[in-house]
Amino acid sequence: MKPMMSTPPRTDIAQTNTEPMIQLRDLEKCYKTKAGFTYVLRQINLDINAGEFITIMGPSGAGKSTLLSILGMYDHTWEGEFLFLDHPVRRLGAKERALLNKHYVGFVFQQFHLLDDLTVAENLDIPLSYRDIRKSEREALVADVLDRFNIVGKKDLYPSQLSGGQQQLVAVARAIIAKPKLLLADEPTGNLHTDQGREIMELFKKLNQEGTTIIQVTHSETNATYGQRIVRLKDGWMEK
Amino acid sequence: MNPFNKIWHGLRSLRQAKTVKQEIDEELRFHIENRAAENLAAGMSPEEAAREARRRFGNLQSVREECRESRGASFGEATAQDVRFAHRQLLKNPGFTTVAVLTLALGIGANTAMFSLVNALLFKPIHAQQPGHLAGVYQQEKADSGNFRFFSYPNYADLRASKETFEDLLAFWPGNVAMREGDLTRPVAATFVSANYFSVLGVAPLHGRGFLPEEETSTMPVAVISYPLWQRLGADPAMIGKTLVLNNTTFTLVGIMPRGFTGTGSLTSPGLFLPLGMMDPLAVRPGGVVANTLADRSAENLSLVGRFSPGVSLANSTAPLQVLSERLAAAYPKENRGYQLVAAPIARLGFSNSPERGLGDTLFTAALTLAMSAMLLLIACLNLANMLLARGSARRKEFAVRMAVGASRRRVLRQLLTEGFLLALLSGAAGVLLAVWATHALAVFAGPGFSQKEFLTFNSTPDVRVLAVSLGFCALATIFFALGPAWRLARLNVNADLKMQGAEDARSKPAGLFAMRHLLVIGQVALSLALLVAGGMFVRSVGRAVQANPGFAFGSNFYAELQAGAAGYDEPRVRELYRGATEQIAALPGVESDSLAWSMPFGDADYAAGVQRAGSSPLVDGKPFATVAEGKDMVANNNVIGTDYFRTLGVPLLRGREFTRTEVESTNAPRVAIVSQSLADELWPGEDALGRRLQFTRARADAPDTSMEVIGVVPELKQDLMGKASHPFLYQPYGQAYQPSMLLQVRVSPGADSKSLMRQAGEALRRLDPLLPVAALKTLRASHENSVTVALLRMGARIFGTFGLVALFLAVIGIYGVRAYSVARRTREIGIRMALGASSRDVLRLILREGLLLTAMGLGLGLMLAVAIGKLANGFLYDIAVIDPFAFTMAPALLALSALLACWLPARRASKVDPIVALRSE
Ligand SMILES: Nc1ncnc2c1ncn2[C@@H]1O[C@H](COP(=O)(O)OP(=O)(O)OP(=O)(O)O)[C@@H](O)[C@H]1O
Ligand SMILES: [Mg+2]
Repeated sequence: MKPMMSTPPRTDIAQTNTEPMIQLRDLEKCYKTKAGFTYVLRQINLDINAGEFITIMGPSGAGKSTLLSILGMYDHTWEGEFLFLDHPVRRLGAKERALLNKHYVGFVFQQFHLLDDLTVAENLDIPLSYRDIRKSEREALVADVLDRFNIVGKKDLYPSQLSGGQQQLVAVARAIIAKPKLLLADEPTGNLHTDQGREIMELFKKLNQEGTTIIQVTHSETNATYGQRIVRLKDGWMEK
Repeated sequence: MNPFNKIWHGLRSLRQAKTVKQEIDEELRFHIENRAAENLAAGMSPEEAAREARRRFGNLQSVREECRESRGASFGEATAQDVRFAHRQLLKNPGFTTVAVLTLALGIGANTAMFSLVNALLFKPIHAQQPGHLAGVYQQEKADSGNFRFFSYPNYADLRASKETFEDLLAFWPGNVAMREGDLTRPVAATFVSANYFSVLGVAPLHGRGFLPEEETSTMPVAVISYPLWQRLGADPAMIGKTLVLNNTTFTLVGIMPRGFTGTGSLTSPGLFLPLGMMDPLAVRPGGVVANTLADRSAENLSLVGRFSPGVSLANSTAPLQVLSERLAAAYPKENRGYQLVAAPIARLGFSNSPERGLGDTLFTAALTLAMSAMLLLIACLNLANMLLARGSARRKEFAVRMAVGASRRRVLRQLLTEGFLLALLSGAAGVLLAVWATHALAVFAGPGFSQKEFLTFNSTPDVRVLAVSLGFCALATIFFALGPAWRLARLNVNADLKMQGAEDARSKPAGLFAMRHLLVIGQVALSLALLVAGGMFVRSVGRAVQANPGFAFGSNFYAELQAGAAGYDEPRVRELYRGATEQIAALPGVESDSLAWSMPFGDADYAAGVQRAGSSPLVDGKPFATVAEGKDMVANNNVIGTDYFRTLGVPLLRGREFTRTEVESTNAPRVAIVSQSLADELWPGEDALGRRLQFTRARADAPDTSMEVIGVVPELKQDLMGKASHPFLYQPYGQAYQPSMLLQVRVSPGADSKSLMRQAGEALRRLDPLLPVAALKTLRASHENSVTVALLRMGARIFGTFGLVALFLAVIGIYGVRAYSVARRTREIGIRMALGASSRDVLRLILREGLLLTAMGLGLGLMLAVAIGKLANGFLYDIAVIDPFAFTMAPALLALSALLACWLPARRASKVDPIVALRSE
């Protein structure tokens, strides 16, 4: 597969093979609730190299989604250290984090988060519309992805007119359409038929071979086998 | 139960049993439904709320039976319930209620205020007992129904004596007198009245007494003053019995009229009421009639108002009046043949010998004003409709529950309309207060500008009519703002909305550009722009009117208004006095020249007369002449002036010369005239007018010869600000056209200080004759800037300028509200977009773009509306183009900037959305 787009690498980001893409040091996350502080992530230490395909597993409520949204740099209320390509994420402002995310990250949300007011094609176009790409090129990219995910026939439907599985396909398609360097996928196959799930996993594998770093959350041991490494979470702790 | 309810019930029981049963069902549902809604509000889930409500009212069938037993509480009860629930609903959202009430109060207030003015102008009866039984009485020429005349006193006395048609009949004549206040002599409007004046109107004096019958025609100097004059003189009840000096005659004050009494007029009140018999001693001469006016049956100088006898009214007065006319004509054929009596509603505006014919212009102005204020109300309604739409989305669940337990759509609609009407009533109350305050302020502002001599008696306290119309505005507003959103809610899909949890309205289709709430905003912006432009045009017009000149520069020149006639002086003495005044003031260092004049351009009074070529024979058979050579006449403004008049104004003559001293001072010099170029052109087209002769239109063969030789031609001077630029003008020398009141115009030398010159002029006049009433001493510019026309324009500018600003304010609130609501509703969408790469700037642009697009569409629509208004305003405003560059650039710019701000605030809030928080809000 040809690269779909090229993001101009930012000169201030040192990208060497020796350094891991992601380094987490004693990362802690807690929510302030009425009952006090509830820790959701405890002492997470994790290095992820560029080009890896990692699976995060664990029971419900273990903190998988929380960790993923920290890695996606959406969540910034945590303790510890997080270096993303040598950028100290903790010390970055909202704007810089958003910029890093935009340049490197594709995200499949557990709840899909499709926009109800937009058609499938329009939903797929959102990430591209914020990335300085010409209209004609965007249209070509959307058509390409629709084709690859076999949802050309659905392109003018609204999310509410899709089944849960179809919505999930669109969510995955939207995450990869801008050709991210890092793909974060929160249960990308939860609603899919086994065959469809396998196709998504094959796609991930292919993207990974082409250089995309992938971190997926899944409950499926089969899916986990597509990755090279499994991180297990339980009650916020990483199992060694 | 009140009688109305009883009747209602009686009527209802006549209907079929089936209907009654349906109604009981409906009532029941109503109770269940309210219960359910309250449960929901108390925090139960929708299903629970509905279930509990049903359980509580138990078996529908058995309750139904019970209900049929006691049908007492029904329609009234349901309404009361509706009102109670609506009341609670409004209290529950104080923020919403406050903004809604304020918004609507502005709209209703503006309309109530405008209607109060229109009411005072057109509808409000005068302050009198049973004003409906009063009518103006007129004398109409049988041969020419357009011709009317006033009444002579003897005719009046005879008519009053026959009590068949009119129980009683009053007579009056308005005139000005000069009243001494301290060492000032001020002109005050007086009405000379028959002794029964106050009793016919049915208004007793506040203090003292009215006039005694024997005072009517005698020359006993007694006076009654109006309330506002009494206030100005110190408002002391002990003033009764004290003296007033009017036209140098000492009067005894016998009565003070109560507040609000305006005589037979409606908006202004004279300061003084004096007996008819005092007209001659005070030298107030109606129509230039000679002395002893009351004894002469052919001296027509009174206006009559009668109170109909029982059984007679305007509608059936024709026959009895005809009998009266014939009797009068039979008794005094010489004076009364050919005339008949007619009755008509009392004239509201102005004073005339003919019935007030269609208040066309006034009605037009009134309609226009009300249309403008209606636009404001419409804007407020659009605003409110939008707020209700937004809130309706939040209340979908409540109404879904109501409908789930059986509320009919009609009931839901009724509940919502009740809420709307309650809101409108609250706003209406606030609006009426606002209107009272605003109209009072307007009257205070406008009062002095309109008349120095009369008193504006606008009473801002709303009467029944104003309150009723305000209530109408409330009802109208309710329909406008509540019906649409209520209709939408009543149509909702119960199933979908019951299940709906979380984000309000998340399920509804996206709000496209032409969604209801967007159309409402576009409408608001359009209407606001139209009002703003209208306001801008008025402001501009006032500016131009103030800057206008009649054909010469005002400079720092000034004038004195001399009313020697009011001092009771006879013609020789007045002439002598005015000659002396002219000489003495001309001698003051710093005065370049001065001159007498009867009226002045842009003054509050101007005079006109028919003129034709000299030698034309009078009209014999009433057929008009075809050409000026035959004697065709035309209306020309006329003025009576002294020497150096044009020099004093700074207007060079085109041909010929000014009047000589002899012509101005002598009564028997050869008759001469100066004409304006347009009069010359009309009378002698293509010829030289100098040396030609003209005369006032001769109506009868025995009319005195008025022919005069044209000795000068001058350029056009604009006499009336709103009038045409060139109007034929005829000037006569003072020597041949005596007037007791004259203006003394003074031209100030360059560099001289006009303020100190005015002071010196005042002193010189006092030295000349300390009793000479000087009604005014001011600069031409000040006089122009405070003239009635400019005052009216200024009042319009004040009203419509305010309308424009209020409209702007409402539109900004409207835009802000809709954008803010949209942002709140779209928080999740914004979060997702940001998570997918949208920057703060992208989000800002997204929200701004939509707001500005709506604004731009509103502005486009508004400009079209504004052009229509411009076309209209062009017709009656002073010197304003259909598309006035100032109004048409400033108004859209102001609105666009305000809209930008109104969009920018919510957009900024949107751009600050934290995606992680927004995504969690699902
Ligand atoms: N906003 C919040 N406030 C308080 N607690 C929260 C909040 N969001 C998540 N949590 C808690 O954090 C914990 C981890 O949640 P998270 O969504 O990461 O679990 P998860 O591993 O993704 O589970 P699942 O497999 O069900 O998706 C849960 O116990 C949850 O209750
Ligand atoms: Mg999760």
